[in-house]
Order: sequence, then C-alpha cells, then structure tokens
Amino acid sequence: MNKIIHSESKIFNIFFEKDICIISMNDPKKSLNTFTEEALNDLDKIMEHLSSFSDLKGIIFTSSKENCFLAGADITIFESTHTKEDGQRISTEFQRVLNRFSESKVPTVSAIHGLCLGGGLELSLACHYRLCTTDQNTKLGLPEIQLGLIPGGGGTQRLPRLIGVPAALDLILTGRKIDAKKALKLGLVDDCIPVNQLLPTAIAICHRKSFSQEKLLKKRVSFFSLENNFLGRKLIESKTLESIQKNTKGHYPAAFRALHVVLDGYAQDDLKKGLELESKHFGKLLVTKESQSLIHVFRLMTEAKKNPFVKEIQGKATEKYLDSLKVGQSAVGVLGAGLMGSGIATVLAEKNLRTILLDKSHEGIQQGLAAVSSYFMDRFKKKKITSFERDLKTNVCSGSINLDSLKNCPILIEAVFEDISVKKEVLQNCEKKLGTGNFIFATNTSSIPIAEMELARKNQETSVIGMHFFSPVPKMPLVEIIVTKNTSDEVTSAVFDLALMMGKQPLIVSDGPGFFTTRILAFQMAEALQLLAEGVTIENIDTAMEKFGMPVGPITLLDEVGIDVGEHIISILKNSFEPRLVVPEQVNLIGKEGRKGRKNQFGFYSYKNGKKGSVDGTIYKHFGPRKPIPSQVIWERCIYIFLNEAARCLDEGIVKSSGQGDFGAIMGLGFPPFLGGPFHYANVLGKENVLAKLKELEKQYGERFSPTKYWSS
Amino acid sequence: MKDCKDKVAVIDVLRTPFVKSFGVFENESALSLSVKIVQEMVSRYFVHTTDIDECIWGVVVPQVKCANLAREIILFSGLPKSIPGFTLNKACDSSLQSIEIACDRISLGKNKLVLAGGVEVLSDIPLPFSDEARRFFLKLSKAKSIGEKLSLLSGINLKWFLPSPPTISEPFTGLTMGEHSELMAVKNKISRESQDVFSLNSHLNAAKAHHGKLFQEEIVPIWTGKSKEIFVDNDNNVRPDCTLEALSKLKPVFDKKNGTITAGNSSPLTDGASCALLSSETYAKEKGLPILGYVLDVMTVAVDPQDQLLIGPAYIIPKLLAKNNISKDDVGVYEIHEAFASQVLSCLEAMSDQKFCQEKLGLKNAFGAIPMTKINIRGGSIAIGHPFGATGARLVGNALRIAKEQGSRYAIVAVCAAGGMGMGILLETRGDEL
Repeated sequence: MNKIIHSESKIFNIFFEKDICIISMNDPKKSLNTFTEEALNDLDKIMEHLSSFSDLKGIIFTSSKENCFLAGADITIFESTHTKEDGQRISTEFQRVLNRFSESKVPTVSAIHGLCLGGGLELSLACHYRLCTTDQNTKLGLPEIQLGLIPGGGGTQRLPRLIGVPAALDLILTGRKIDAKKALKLGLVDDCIPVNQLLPTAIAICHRKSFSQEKLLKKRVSFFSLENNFLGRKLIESKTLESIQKNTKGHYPAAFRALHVVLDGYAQDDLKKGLELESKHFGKLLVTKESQSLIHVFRLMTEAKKNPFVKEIQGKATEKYLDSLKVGQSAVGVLGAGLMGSGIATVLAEKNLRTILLDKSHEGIQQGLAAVSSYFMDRFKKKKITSFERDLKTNVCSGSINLDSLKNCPILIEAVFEDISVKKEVLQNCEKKLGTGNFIFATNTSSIPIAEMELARKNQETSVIGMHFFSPVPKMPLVEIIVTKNTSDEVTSAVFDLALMMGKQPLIVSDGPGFFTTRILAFQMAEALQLLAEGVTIENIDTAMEKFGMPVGPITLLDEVGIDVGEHIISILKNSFEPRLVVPEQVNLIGKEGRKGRKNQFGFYSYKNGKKGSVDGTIYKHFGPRKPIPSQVIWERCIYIFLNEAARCLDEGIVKSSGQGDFGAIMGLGFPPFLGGPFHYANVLGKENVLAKLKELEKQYGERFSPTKYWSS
Repeated sequence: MKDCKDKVAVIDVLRTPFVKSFGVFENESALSLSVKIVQEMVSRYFVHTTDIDECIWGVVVPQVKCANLAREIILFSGLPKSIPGFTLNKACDSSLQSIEIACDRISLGKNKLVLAGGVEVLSDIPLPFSDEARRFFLKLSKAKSIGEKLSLLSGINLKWFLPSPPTISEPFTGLTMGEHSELMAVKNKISRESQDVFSLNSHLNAAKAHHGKLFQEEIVPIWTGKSKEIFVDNDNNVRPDCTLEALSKLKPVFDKKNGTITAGNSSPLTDGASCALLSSETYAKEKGLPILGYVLDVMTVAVDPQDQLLIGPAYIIPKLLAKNNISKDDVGVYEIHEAFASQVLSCLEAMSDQKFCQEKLGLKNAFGAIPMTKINIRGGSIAIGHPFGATGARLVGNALRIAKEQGSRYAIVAVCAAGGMGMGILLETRGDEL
C-alpha cells in the first residue's frame, strides 16, 4: 500500500500506523479547532483519497490540540449566510462530508479528548465507533440551540438513533455539555479511557475482526421503548412541547423545530430522509432574527471575556494584585456580611480563593458564614461537589470582626449597607488601619457615584473602583466595573481579571449616576410606574413586558429588589436626570405605607408564606380608577424609553460600544437574548424607525422620550 | 541552642476558645478548628504565606479521615499548596514538641517561618470496634464466595459490635491518668483539701483574667454549629462562681471509695486548637513582624511510668534552669500544666523535697519551692481546659504575655504527659540588644 498521502491541508495531519490512517486535526490559526469552509474541503478531499486505498484497515479521527477535540462550526460561517437556501446548502454539504465517515468501508473511529461540541460531536456520531478520554476537560454536547439553531450535520438524526429520543432531546434542547462518565452511561461513546490509551484502543478497535457497517448504523434503541411506536412518540412530543413552552415562552423557534425534526426524522427508517429534513429546517432557522441575535450575543460573550488592556498592564496588575491570591498567599477581604457580602464571599470561595468576611458585629458574621456554608452544603446535597470540596470551600472563607485581619488583602470588596456615608466611613477606616496605596477598594453599589467615594479617601493613592454585583450573587453572571477618570488601567485590569476568576462576566463602564444597567432599568421602571399611575393594572404591565420577553415584569421586579431600594436609587438618579426621569408622586405613598416588596411580604403583590400571590388590590387606592390600555402601548413605552436611555449612555461614553451595551442589558437585566440586546434590537427595527417612534412618543407623552443623538447619527 | 547565631522568635500564639467536649464544638473537627486558627494567624500578621516553610501539628487522638492533619490544614485553608506539613503525637506534650522541632529547624537555618500548633477535638473521635469485630469485618471483606461469607456470619457474637469508647489510660500500666494521679497524691501526701484549694485558685485566677479581657488577644472567635448560629469567643470551662464548699462536695471519680481526685480538681475533657507562629529573629525583623518573645531551650524527660507517671515537671524545671545557668528566682513566670491538682502539687512537693532532688535529680539540696504567685496566675488547665494536643502552645503564649506585662525576662513552661514524660520550654521576653 502506498502509505504516503499528499495532503496539502494545513489543518489536518495524516499519518499511518501500519494500515490504519490517523487524521489529526490542529488548526494552526486558532486556539480551538473549528469547522471552517477550508477545513471541510480538506477533510472531504482526504476522505475521498482514503476511499481509494485498497488495503486500509481503519480510519481514526482525532485532534492534537491540547484540550480541544473539535468545538463545532466556525461561527463566521453562520454570520455570512443570509438566505435559507444558503443555510440549507451549508448543512447538506456538511452532512455529505460526514457521511463519508459513516459510509466508509473500513471502520471509522472518533478518538475524543477535550471539547467535542456541535459539528465535532456530529462527526463523531457519523463514525462507527466513539471513544473519549476520562479527562475532566473532555466535554460533549450539541450547543446549537443556544445559537437559535439545530444541529445541521446529522446530529438530530444520528443522536436519537444512538441513545434514544428522550436522552437526545435533552441534549439537543438544552445544549448542555456532558462529561465522559455521563456520555458512557448514555451510550453516546463506546468506551471512556485514560488519555494515554486513547489511540492504542482506537487502533485495537480497527483491528477487530467483525465489523458490520449495517449493524452499527441501525437504531440501537430497544424495540419496545417508547419512541419506537407512534403513540409513544406522541406522548414524548406532548410532554416536551409543554416543557419547551414553559421554558421559552414561545420566544425560541429553534426548540420547536428541533423537537419536530428529531421526532419526524426518527420515524423515518431511512436516515437520508431525516438528514434532508434536518438541513431544510437548519436553513430556515439560520435566517431567523432569533438566531442572528443569539449569534450576536455569543460573539459578545466571547469578546467580553478578553481583558481590554495591553499585555504589559495586565501583567503588572496580575503581579501586584492577583498572583498572591491565586497561590493562597493573600486573601480577598469582603466588608459587610449581608446578602451581597456573603454572596460575593460564596462566589470567591467557590473558586477556592481565600476570603475573609468582615462585619462590625459577630451576628453579622454569623449570618454571612451561615449563608456561605449552607450554599456549599446545598451543592453537596445536590451532588454537585464532593464532601471534600464542600469542606475546602467552606473553610477558605473565614470571618472576622477585626479590620486588622484584612492587612494581607490586596483587594477589598466593600458590600456594606447602600448608604454613602456608611461606605465612606468604611473606606476611611480601611485607610487608617491598613495603610494606603496597598489595596484596591472595590465598592459594590448599584447607584452611588464612585467619584463621590473617591472624594472621601484621605490618600490619593488609595484606589477606589466600583464593582456592581447583582443579587443573588452566585446566580447572576454580570459584574459592572465602574471606573472614574482617576482609576488606573492597572487597577481596572486587576478587578476585571478578578471578576473573571470569580466566574463572572465583567463589563467596564464609566462612572455616572446609576452607571449603565441601573440607569436604564430605572427609566424603564419609572415608565412602568407612570403607566400604573395612568390607570393600567399591574398585571397588564407585567404580562405585557413578559410577553415582550423580559424574564419578569417591572413591577414584580420592583417587589423582588425591594420598593425601598428602588425608591433610594431613584432618589439618587432623580437629581441628575430630572426632568427626563419622572416618577409619579403617589409612589411615595406606597413607601410610606411600609410596602417593601417580597422582603416584608408587603408590596405590589400579596404574599402568603413567602409565596407570591396575586396583585394586592388595595394598592390602587393611591391612584385613580383602572382603565384598559393596549398591551402594545405598554411595552412600547417601557422599551423605547429604555432603548433611548441605553443610547444616551453610549453617547455619553458610559458604555464604550453598542456591543457592550447589549451585553450589559442581557447579562445584568435579563433583556431577551433572542432580541440580541437593546442596540441590536434597535438595528433590527432600523435606527430611523426608532427615531420616528421616539419622536411620536415625545409628542404624545412629553420630553422624556426626546430622542438622543445616537438615533440620528 | 542559646549559642546559635539566629534566635527563634515567637511572633504570636493564638488559640480557639477552649470549650467542654461534646458541647458547642460538636460540629467541628480537629481539621476545621485548626484551619480557622491558622487562617487568622496568617491574616492577622500580614504573613507572606509563601515564606512559610512548614506546618507542624500535634494531635493525640488518631485522625481517621486525615492521618497527616498538618498537611490537610494547609490544603483545606487555601494556603499555598507548596507548604509541607507533618503531624506528631507526643501525648499532652504534642504542641510543645511541634514548637521544639520548629525551633530546631529555624536555629539550624533550615527554616525561617514555621506554623507549629496542636489541636484536640474529642467531639470528633473515632469509635473503634472490639478486636473481634474488627477481625470479623476484615475477614468478611476478604471472603470471596457466598459460602465463605455465610460461614463467617454463623460464628458472630453480637457483643463484638458494641463500640468500645476509648479511655485515657496508660497502655503500659493499664491504669488511667486519674488512677496514676491518685497514686501520686498518696505518695506525696497531697490532701483533698489542698487539691480543692489549688483548683479553686485556678478557676478564680482564670475568671479574673477573663474578666480583665487578658485573653482577648489570644482567643480567636469561632462561628460554629450547623448554620454557624453559635458564636464562641470565650472559654466555657471556667467557673467564676466556684467555691471551696462546692468543690469539697464532689465525689471522687477514680478511686470512688477512698480517692481524693474529683471532677472538680482535674482538668476537663476539652476541645480546642492553638497555634504558634515562629520565625528566625532575622526574618521577623526584616519583615517587621512583632516579636512576643524568644525560645531559649526545650527539653524532654522520661521516667518509669510505674512510679510517678505525671511527675515530669519536677524533673524538667530544675534541669532546664541548670542547663541554661538561670536561677529559679530569675524566672518570673511558671506555667505548669494542670492535668490534676494532685499532680501539680506532687511536682511542687517533689521539687521541695531533698530526698527526691538528691535521688532523682542528683542535686545536693532540694531545688526549693516556687512561690505560688508565679505559678499559673491566669489560671491553668483545670479551669481553662485541656485539649491534649493544644495545651502546650497555649501555655507558651500565655507565659510570654504574662512575662512581658510583668517585665520579667524569663518564663518557663512545663507539661507532663502520658508515658511518664515531661517537657519544658524556657522562654525569654527580650532580644539580645537589651
């Protein structure tokens, strides 16, 4: 046999182990292997070439990247496709190349180590055998749904045939990644083995005597299982539909299509028909607004993880503030052990970073430490962590009532009560006790201007920066990092990286009242309250906004955040934004009544045993009679004022780019990802249309809708 | 050691509150308490944790989950994983032994900064099965066939499976510590009343020190309990309202008929951890670490357990002073561990006894009496409690703090231990420049 194959591919290395061909992927231009057009063409040629080899005994596909097998399709392919026909063509072409693996006359083995996602897993599914390593970096999944798509390389067809419809639907509809152990349990891989034995085992499989292609391609699901009869499939369909409807509120068409493609494809005996169905729907989905938005969001999320400063500054910041944290040389000090403080400490401890939780009273510490330990106890009970991890994470967070304990801390996160005088006092105490210039004082606030905090410092060398966490801290992904004119890049870079170390998504914004997220949210809430004052029922406001796609309605949100907190924020912002920020006077009466929302079980809604009930009708006594207003008017007013304020933040330089604005609104406020963020959404609507609408609203409701520069630029 | 170039500085000694076993620390373990104390130590002194060369920890009751506790303390507290550690057991002298090894390595120039401490959490002890049950379980796990297993099961006796709670007894003599102490009381003619008076003073002194917040520096508050609802910032064995009358009413516990040792004049079962941070004087000065005092010398003696098991301090104090050419009057602070009142009194008696000093110590005359005003003036283990692995380090910190406050140059700590051992440590409050 001629063992030399003349491949010009820069992406695939071909070598032979006796009569077995090993195709090893390593795209030199990228840190992760992905399917580009070039890669697909190269692979096509290689496989074609191999099919002419007469005494070949097997083909093994693997990767020589460190922790990545194949992370799916390169996303630029999707971005450059504009018609559904093109989309379908991409899918069909991809399927055709992958079919070369399933149709190969010799055994094909996918030897997986590292990330194996999307197209990578689909390639593996097309192979006759799959092996994966037991390594913790080995993860398998079909995350296409997160981009508003369905797998387009046979994933929707081959996966259910291999592991059954319910398990396949779970993976396809959630897009979640599973580890080797789970993959083996599901039957997704034939074996999982230590990484040093991956290729030898793959080779051994090729050498096995009995190899029947047909048998391998047959459905592996038991004849008696649910999905193998019509009624069973109907049952699965109705159950799944119900849960999709509940989880997506109908905003994500890909989920419905995925279900349809999986079930109808599975019902076909001929895989080819299923593949056709898949590519048709893939093409349709690719041009949906939802998918384009989600791809935009995916881009934003990847970009947001990159530290924006030059290497030199990053290096200095790491050396000065973070290196010592990473090795346990120093600890992060968290001042204030309340809800936010203990949440921040929990997130730090979760990443095994030593944390000292400080409070002025031992009762405060007690509650803080209890919150931290119960969080990890809970994770342990849910089997997310081992008992050893639980003990470590609980132990790395210690409590103290003595500021001296923080002497070792390069970064202090202050999360005391949201009152500027208290915060200033804490800052000054820290300066007094801990010396100046040694530490970063990161203040967690949703609205207190950082510049004002800066004025309180006694020494100009103390670095003050804003670090706005969202509640509940362990769940909410965004951290707004607020910088002033005086904040050094080094300090910002350190805090940015700390947020990443905590597993958060950092967003750097400029100082200003309410920064970015709080500010735009305040305008939306104010408008919602305005509608309430005008006579709209609370249910109508909340449902209209939920229908638009917000996770919760603005009035419910106010109850959750706390009416007192909302009032406090608005009182801070009002000074700066009057007359644009208008809050109906009656709102004061609500606060005076003692309504605080969920925390005291007394708010816009009524609460029973901690559970939210219906709207508390007595609240209307402060306002006039209720009258019906169309839901479109409701969401338009709330959203346009929100878009306008977001754009104003960009004009004022609070956010650096429209992309960052989109990112902040989605991660921090739950702006619907399928709309891609306020700026993306406005672009889809057309900037000139937004401008026209704002002008119309301005005429009707007053100058708060007056369009900012952005719309006419 | 005195002649070595670099002196060994004690930066500080911190401890958890010492509390009654099976009480507020029932949710803690030897590991968790130690972690807390170590974390506070490094954060309080701005310690460059990467400079810590070693962690040496003493614990007496065997640790089932983490045999090498010292290393786990480092790992579970999030300190640099590059710090090695080892665990030792020298009965009640364990934490003194940790300190001695740390001192030796520092003065040899091998180490510059060492964490040395000890812990005991009796609330978290392993309950061993009887030997028969242990053998049965081992055989069962090795049995291959079902038949083999069944035949093993047929021979069992339910009595085997009663857990046997560990006792604090001497393997060599078969007697408990208390029984040995009874023997010492008899031998040295220590009356019940003098024991009770001694214990009363231990409580009253400790209570006074607590009241004056003299332990505030050394005690690290602990939040414990399932939801951290218990806040412990003080020792809970001390009885400020203790009276001689109440003590005299207690029944003897070891020799129930004719004994003199009661729960009142013995040290209670206690949970707690303590930790010393030791460094070379050069390093401490270079880093600007505060220095509480210096360790001059450490010694251990051992005697025949059959004779007077806990008499160690009576040997070690005279020997340590003689070796370092320091007279007993030069020492301002004597911290003698109080396992039992009868045991401390026996030691004091022995040191004043000419015959004992001649026969056992080879002295011409009696060593002489140590004034009670120099002994355990802030209370001792009877009042404060005695976590076996942690007491030694506590005494070192306490001795130095008292000496510093009184302006005494020298302080001595002596601790008796099971196996007929005794350990002593000579401390100095000032550096060379003075």
